[in-house]
Amino acid sequence: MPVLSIVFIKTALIYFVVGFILGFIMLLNKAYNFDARILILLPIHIQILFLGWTLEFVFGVAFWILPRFIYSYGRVELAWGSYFLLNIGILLSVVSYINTIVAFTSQGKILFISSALLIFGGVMLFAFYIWSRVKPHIIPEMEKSSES
Amino acid sequence: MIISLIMGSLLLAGNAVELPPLIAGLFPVYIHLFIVGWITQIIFGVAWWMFPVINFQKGLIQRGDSKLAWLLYILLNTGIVLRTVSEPSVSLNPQEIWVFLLVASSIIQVIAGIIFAVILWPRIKPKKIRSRQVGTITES
Repeated sequence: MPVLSIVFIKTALIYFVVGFILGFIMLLNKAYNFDARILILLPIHIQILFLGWTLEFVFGVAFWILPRFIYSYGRVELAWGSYFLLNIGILLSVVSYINTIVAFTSQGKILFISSALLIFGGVMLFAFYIWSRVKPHIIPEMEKSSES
Repeated sequence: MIISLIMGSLLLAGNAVELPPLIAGLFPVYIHLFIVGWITQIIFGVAWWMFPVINFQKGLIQRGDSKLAWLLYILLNTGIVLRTVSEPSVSLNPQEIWVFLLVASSIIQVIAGIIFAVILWPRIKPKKIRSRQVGTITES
């Protein structure tokens, strides 16, 4: 498994556990009605599990499994860029949602827009990178000659 | 997956006809049946099968603690089933038994989530290349 896949998938697992813990807190709140403000965790829970867990896990496995260029993964820096943009965007979106309750900054809209742009940029960058790897598998010449 | 898609179809019908309150309140259940019951379980099943193994010897492939994996399967599905039953019941008829079952399902699911991560984490690693010399293994 290449390094970038390891990083993507381990990060996805961390988001998975965090997302499940947030869900646990919200379900307890649903049972006991601790505090209505706990509902702010719902969009965070959704962001973390859809983007942080599912999407990053898929990206990690796709980077590992999809057909490679001969002896190369291609422009890996694009995929790394995608990793950083996506994760900074997700963390910024979490900060944005918490800010709506705690209001530690008046720049709420800018935080949301910035996080959306970062996430969008991260996804587009990965899509651009992986597009060229969605292709038929090419058998290197030496394998062809040993098979014949 | 099939159950969640049937549920989703019923909920979609709510755009055209008025649904009974029990059905209309099934949206969070539908989402969790789909995401946790279908997507997460298929991810785990395929990852258990395909991720680099813990240890490989001739005739023996160690993918990790299979008892823990089976425990995960039981906990995850028990949590989902309890949630499916108790979550709409708490909303419509908040009796103690449904509250208890909802709390139980939340605890079971979060434990299952942690076990999931514990099982998969050590298998997210570079692949070991077995060289032609006996006993020599290098990492790629």
